[in-house]
Amino acid sequence: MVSDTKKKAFIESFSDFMSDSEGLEQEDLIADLKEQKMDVNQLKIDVAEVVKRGSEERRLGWRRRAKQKIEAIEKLLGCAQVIPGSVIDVKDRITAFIKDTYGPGALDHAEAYFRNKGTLSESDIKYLFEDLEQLESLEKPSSKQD
Amino acid sequence: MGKEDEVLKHLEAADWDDIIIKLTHYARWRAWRYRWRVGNPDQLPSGKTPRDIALNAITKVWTGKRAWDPDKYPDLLAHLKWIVKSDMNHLFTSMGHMTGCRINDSENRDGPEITYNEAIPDPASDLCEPPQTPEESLLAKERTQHEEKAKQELFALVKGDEDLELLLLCIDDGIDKPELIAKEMGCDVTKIYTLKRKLLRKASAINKIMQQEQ
Repeated sequence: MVSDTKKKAFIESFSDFMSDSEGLEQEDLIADLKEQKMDVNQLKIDVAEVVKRGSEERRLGWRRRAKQKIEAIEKLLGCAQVIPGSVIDVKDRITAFIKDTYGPGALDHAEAYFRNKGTLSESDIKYLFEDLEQLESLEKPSSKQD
Repeated sequence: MGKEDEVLKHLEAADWDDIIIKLTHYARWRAWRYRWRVGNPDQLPSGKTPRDIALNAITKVWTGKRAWDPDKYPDLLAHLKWIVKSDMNHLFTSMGHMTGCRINDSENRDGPEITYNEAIPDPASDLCEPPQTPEESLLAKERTQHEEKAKQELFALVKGDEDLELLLLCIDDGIDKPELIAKEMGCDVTKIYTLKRKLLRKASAINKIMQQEQ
């Protein structure tokens, strides 16, 4: 807060002094409010209602947040649908390809080699898959010749 | 535990019976600072009362309209008082309930709400520019006369009680924090609280004086 740089008017200082409840007991404050013809019991009932309603709404807030998350996921899935299936499951296909072509030992070797393949982009993996397919097509005729 | 859960936990644990009484007390005395044309600070513009302003501040915290961050501002009551102060000031500026000085309405009516920790101008001091027109000069003079009259009547009310007289002298010097008054009067702060209680018991007479001051 910015502090007052000039002297306050008497009424302002008096209002500040009297409005501060520090050092006053609750019965002092209640007596003051009753002096103003305020129904203190009704005041407590009203605030309890505000608190009850507020608490309920805040507790149900998780539903609102969950709905927002679901909408975001659905939107993401909607985008995923336009990506060709061959690209989405490319990692599985690579795994199967290596396992089938070179055996389980090669798969372990490949997994160790591509330990950080999770950081590769989909297009990197797609190119890798294409390279492996080309390699396979080169190897197959040569094995036939043997 | 997420931030929202943490805030909810704090809000649910708060003593709302105590808070509403302290906050309404604050709003009721804060209202005296404004010279409502309606003549009674218990009936504010738009038919609102200090009680409504206090309850509304609590509602705003619960609904998140005035979000409360317990990490930044651990004192919930202080945060609520700030909302009351801000809302009352907004009511004051937007309704044009000002007699002694004027505020450029276009700057305040639709402007962004003041954010926490921003200074909230006081009605009769910071925002008031020196009187520019004869009408403004006249109103300012009239306000000063009314305040002087109210001050004299308050001094008359406590006449004979040396401690209360000293207390009002401190207030007249702009010293309104109990600790500072205690230092000035050379006594313990608990004595200042006792004097405040004594003044509260004279609330009915003070109300009459303040209403005359309108």
